[in-house]
Amino acid sequence: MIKEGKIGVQEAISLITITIAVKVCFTSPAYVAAITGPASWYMTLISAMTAMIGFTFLYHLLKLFPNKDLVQAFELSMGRVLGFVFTIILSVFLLLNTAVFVREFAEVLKVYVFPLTPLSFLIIFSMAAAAIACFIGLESIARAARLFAYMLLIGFISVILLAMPTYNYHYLFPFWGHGFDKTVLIGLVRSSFYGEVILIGIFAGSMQGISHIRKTGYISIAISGITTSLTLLTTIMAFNYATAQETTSRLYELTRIIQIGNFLQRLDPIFLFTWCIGSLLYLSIMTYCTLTTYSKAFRIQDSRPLIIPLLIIVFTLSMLPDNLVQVTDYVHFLRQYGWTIYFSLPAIALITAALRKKRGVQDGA
Amino acid sequence: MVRKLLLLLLVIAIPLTAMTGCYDAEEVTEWAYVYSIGMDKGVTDKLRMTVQIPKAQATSAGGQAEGSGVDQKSNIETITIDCPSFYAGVNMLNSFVSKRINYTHTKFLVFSEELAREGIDIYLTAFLRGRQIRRQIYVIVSKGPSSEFLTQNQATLTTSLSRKQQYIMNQSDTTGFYENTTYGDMLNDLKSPYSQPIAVLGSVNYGNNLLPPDGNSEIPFKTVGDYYAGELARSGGSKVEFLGTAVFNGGKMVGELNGDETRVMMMIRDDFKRGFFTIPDPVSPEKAISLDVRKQKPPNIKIKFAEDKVRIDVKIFLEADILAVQSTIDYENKEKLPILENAFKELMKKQVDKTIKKCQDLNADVFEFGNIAAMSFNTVEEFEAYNWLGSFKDTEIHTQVDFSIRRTGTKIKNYENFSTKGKEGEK
Repeated sequence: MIKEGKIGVQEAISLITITIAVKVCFTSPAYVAAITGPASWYMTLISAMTAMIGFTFLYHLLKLFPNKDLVQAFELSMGRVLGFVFTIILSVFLLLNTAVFVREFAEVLKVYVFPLTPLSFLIIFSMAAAAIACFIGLESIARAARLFAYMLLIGFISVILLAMPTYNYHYLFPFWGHGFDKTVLIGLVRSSFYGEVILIGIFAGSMQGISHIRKTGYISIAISGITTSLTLLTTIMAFNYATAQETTSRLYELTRIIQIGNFLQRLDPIFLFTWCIGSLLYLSIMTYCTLTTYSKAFRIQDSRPLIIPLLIIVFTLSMLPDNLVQVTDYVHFLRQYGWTIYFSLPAIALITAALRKKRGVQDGA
Repeated sequence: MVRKLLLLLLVIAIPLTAMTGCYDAEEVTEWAYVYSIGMDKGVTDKLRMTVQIPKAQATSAGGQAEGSGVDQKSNIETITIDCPSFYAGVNMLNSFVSKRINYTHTKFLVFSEELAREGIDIYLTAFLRGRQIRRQIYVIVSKGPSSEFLTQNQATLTTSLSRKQQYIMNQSDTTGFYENTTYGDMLNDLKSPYSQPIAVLGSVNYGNNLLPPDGNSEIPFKTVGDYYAGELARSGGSKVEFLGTAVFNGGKMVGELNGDETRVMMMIRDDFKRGFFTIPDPVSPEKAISLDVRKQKPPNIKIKFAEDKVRIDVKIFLEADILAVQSTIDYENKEKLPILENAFKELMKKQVDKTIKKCQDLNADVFEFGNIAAMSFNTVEEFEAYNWLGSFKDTEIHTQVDFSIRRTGTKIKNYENFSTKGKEGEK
């Protein structure tokens, strides 16, 4: 049995925030620059607000079933069979996200840092780290996230501040990008970017009460919304909407153009460290949650024997795309339509529970 | 406990052994770090590429005391090759360069004027995909072949060429004779409708402009920046000089700005920091006054879109300290100081108007007026459809210069000179 343990609000916020925000280091910002132009920085705030509404469904669902996690809430609300279907859909979706993410991470790593290292080598070692994290358990992953959160935040703020001489605020205009209506629409659908907030539901049993879940959810979305918006804002100011959509990793490029005096330049190795830590935390928690949801769906008590097979599946899936172009297509598909899984499943479960008047047993009842 | 310990050891051992070497491991000594890349039109192939690579002893002797008598030229290998494209050239170089070519420390990307006038957009957009190419590389257009420019680009006053390259580009802040344009800046301008690209204008100067004395004592003085690169009358020092700006329309070079015009361009772009100016004394025009001019505050630029015409109002704010007054006129006096201020204002306004007119004739908005214009459009589609860069030549531009003299240096009064004829100023 993998040890779930208990985690506090700070650990959970660190974990969820890193999981959401680390994706901004990869190809997504270039894509949003192409579809929203200079408006991308506030488009993501619209996404964050939409995600908060999406999280509200999850929160109310978990509130209906106190001390239960999302998998149990699905079953209690929808019944055994539909609950099982919902859990499996979620598990498969998390699996796909993990596979696409590890491939995107390895591809970008290969483009910028390890051009000669085989892709499979990079993926295997990234997944090996995730496997070890899964063996150690949620509590350790969350503590690691809490430990690294300040380091990552300092690294991020340093990059943003040090790159200030390269900013040109005029590049934020035309202010409405490709049109306000388009920006809002894209903002709504790209709420999937914040969809990992659903992980709170998966490890809800390890959290200490519904108020902690509520705090974690809203604060995580708010912090990751601000950091994502700040990344998009600063990189648009550094590259303008035209070149920003060409850049594989905008944040990485931002660190490469930092030049303060003759000495302070070429800071990308420092950023690389924070980038990899964040990505490995993402992989760890996503693999862990994939494993947990799958095990809970099939009522498997000890999921440790599943870790290695799961990694093999993730590795195989991640190797399926032929090239980076295909990978970015998958990434953008997931960012565009992920909300249909992340937020719709809890919403359907909540509505069903309300219609069927299903409720959990309240504390002290 | 033992299992946990084993697991921990595994966690530490795997990355230590696997990630610290293997495929991408390269020793510093295995690389040939390219300091500069030059591009000319090829003769036997499409492109003539020149690279400057420091020899191993030169890089390792970087910490040696300056002026140690080492022949700097012999420490730099300048290689020229005809090749079909940049990256093909990199491979071709490695057929006779034993170390792997590395561009992560490249400082200069030099295009010959001939190539720049044909168009360099195909090279600019292609380079960036290579991870070693950084956006912070300075882009220079050389008058004459870039191969010759790089051959003459040697370290002076320092033992390190890369240090010299960085320091000389930093001089932009103290002279304003050239904008230290980077590859990233050029890409930003090339790929967007905000403004047109520019590059530093460079040239080899063999000292032929320094003419022998001809006995003529009535030589009028030129303003400090009334030169293009390669025109300075000088001898000694580095054989390459940077002065002026290459102006582009898209990827094609369409004109040049001299040092004075470059300063104006930088003032409007809010990139001008400081520079020494020499103007004729308003009271005694055969004598010169030198001013240490600085930006007072960012320029005020307003753009009004009317139905038939676009009007731009530009106001530049400058301030200065007096550096030198050749005459004995007491400009420290509060009645006379405005005379000097007005004279400079008038000269600057003429220079600003002339520069703007020149760029309008070149049909190149290098002043980044498009940045301000973009604020008047709601969407990218509207802005792109308006074609700001195309309509710039027809805009009506009104200029103003605000100028104040802040300090008069270490003198607060300019007293008369005396000779056997009495006071010089009374003559």
